[in-house]
Amino acid sequence: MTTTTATLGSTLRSGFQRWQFWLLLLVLGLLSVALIQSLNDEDMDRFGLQNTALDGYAALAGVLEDQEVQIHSAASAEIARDLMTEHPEAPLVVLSTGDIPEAAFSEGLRGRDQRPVVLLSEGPELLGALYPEGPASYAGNHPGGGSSAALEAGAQCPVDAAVNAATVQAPGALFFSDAPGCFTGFTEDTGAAQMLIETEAGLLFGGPAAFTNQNITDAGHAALALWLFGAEDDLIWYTPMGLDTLDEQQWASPMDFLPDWVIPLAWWLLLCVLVMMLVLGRRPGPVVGEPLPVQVPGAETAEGRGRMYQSANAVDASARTLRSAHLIRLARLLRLGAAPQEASIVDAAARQIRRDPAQLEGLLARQPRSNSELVAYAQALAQLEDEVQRAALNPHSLAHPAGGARTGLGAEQTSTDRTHPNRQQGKNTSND
Amino acid sequence: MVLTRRFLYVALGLSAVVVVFPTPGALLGCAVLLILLAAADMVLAGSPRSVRVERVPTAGVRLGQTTTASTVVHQEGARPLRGQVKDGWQPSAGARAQISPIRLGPVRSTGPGGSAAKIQTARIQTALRPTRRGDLHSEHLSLRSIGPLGLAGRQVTHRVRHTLRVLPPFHSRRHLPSKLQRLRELDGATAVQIRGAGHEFDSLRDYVRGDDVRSIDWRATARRQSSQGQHLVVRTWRPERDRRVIIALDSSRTSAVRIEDEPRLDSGMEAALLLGALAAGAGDRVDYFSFDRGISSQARSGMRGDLLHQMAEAMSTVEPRLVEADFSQLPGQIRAISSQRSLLVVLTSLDSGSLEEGLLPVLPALTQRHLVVLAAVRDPELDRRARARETAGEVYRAAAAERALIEKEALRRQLASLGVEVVEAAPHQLPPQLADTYIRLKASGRL
Repeated sequence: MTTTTATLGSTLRSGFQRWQFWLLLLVLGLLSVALIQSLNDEDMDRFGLQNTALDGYAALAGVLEDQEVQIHSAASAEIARDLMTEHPEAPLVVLSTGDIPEAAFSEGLRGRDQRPVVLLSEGPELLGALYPEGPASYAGNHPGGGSSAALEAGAQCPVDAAVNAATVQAPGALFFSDAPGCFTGFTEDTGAAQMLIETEAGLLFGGPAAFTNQNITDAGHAALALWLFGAEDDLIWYTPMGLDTLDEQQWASPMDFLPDWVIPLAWWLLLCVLVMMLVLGRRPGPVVGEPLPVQVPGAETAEGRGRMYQSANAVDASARTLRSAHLIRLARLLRLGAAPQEASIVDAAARQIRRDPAQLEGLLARQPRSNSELVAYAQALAQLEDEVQRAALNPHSLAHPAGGARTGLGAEQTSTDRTHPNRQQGKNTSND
Repeated sequence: MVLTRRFLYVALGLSAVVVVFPTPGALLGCAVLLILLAAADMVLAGSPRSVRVERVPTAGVRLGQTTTASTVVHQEGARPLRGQVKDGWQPSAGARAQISPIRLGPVRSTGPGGSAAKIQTARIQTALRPTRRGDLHSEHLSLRSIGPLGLAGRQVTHRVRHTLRVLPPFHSRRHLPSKLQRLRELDGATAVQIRGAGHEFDSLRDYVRGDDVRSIDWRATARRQSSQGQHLVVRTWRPERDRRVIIALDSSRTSAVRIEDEPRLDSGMEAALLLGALAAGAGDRVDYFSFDRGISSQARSGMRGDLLHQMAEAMSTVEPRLVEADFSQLPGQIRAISSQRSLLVVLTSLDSGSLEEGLLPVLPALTQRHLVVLAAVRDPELDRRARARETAGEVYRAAAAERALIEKEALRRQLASLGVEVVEAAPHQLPPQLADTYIRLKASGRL
């Protein structure tokens, strides 16, 4: 039993480890999508003033802005009321996309002042909220758009805007009214009804779809829009939301929908978490320390000195040090004894690699002035040492000394020459 | 107090009760039930206090080897004890499974008088693979006793110390057979080049090319004249035995420097162990000591037991100390060990600062009486840095490395002028090279 559990657990663990990267990638991907979604504040609402999609009002808002009409948006009745107080002359547009204004606001609309009001609604809700029992009523839906005939303003139309617009060709609502209206259409059930009627609360237009980005250029839509909304410099644009109609009493806590046992269970699980902390947090014994030994990295002094050379730009000192180091090694390579003269080292080295001693002297006497010169100098020294080393390892170079190198024969030269056969002999002896 | 995972699962299981009866009363009831269960289990658990912990001494082990540390737990309580035990080894002891289960029966009285009690015992074994040299400890043993329900229990920590001595690894052991072989070849097989009063005549043999012509025994050659021709006969000399070799290991601040993958002190230990084993094998008397401000460890071949083991034991606890070595005490310490001429091997660093002020002033006193060999670890990193010449930064670092190498070279010459043999090699090369130097000195009769 235990074995099975362990196997299952280990299988899960190894599976998780194998897919860890992809799982992580998936989670990251989901998180980034969610983040992008949450950061995206583009207006996607139907008939939204910033919505640039086909069903948006961005074109209308843009044109009105060009006409120097400033649109004040209000998302709630409270804001709308404040704006109305702020701009007493500004026309009010109430655009209903299914939601209705709160009762008090509707009441205020019915007993309105001289402010022009345009009510936009493609359904019966707004009218129902304003006049539950007449004098006007919802007649039905007008299919509009496409092949269906445009609605004429009609001879009896009392609204200048509608007369100037002449026709609309958009889907929407038709209303019955005692007073004459405009854009008469025919529903299947009830016969003739108007898309634009005058009520006490204001003009009620049943085809807000006419002003969308898609339809604004059709028929007389643009003219109607400009006549309706472009009369004043300020325009209050109120779009009722569902929240407006909810009273404080109507607010429901999500807790109300939860089963009774959730709260006690949450408390109990909290207790379980505490227990888990106690269970897992209990150490099986005291913490054990490890007395660590002292250790210092090896080349620390050299590293520190190198940094100091660099920060002080010690080109001269570095060049001198490198030169001395190479001379010492060359002397050892050429077996020139304990403390040979520099000239003898140069001579011996030049002979070894068949170069002009003056050239080597020139190289050694070079005094670098900048970092790049120092690097070149250091590399040239290293190369010289490599060449001498190669020549010393290759016995043929000793057998045929170059004629040119013999020009400056001195005491050191003869002594060096004498050294070579000895060395050769010594080698032979040891090989025996 | 200890709560187990089972307690947590029971608590989680009780959430079903909370779901079925979602009242504060049920919640409280469940909590009280849990507390009661835990309390009962704790009370019924065998007392972890009424046991006696006995640590079984563990033999020293070389670094890199594995061993097992044993602890015996004796039951002295009346109730059975069931649970876990944790041995508190320090991390570098490399304990594989520190927590092991334990089950002890109750102390039962066998006779009617109850005088003869049978004590139950349990042996806890912890497999160890130490990763550090020195004395490693387990300061305590924690005993967790779980109740019969397995929900809760009690835990007590018994502070009884357990010590494991970890000896130096002695990796250079692999060089020992070949070096001993060379010593044996040397023994009576070489015509030594320097004749001295102290050299013991060994045998006569035919001359071979390379032998010192001065060692030809003309009288014996005359006796070997035959019809085939002339046979030259040389005398051979047995290298000296019973010489004294004193190994001084510097454990001061310079030994804390890590070169390649180990501190200078450890490389020095390897070299000292190989040299000690070799010299003891060659019949010399070996004395070892490490020093910083005073002597920190000591071993000698006169002591009981194997010298190599003695040295390893003595070295095991030596750690580098961040103090300057006091070389001025060295002559006195050497004098206390031996008054006769000895081979003195000082394992330190060729660090101009510490040597110029410390060792150089006392060297004449030492070289006068003894043959001194100075063995030091060479840092290959310096050579690598000296060769890197690609960028300005590298060249500056190369210059700094070259400067360090020049200083070392100057120091070597100074030491050589004082008659000191200097052996400087990379960490892994130092032990065989020091051994070679010893063999060379022995072969040339300079010991």
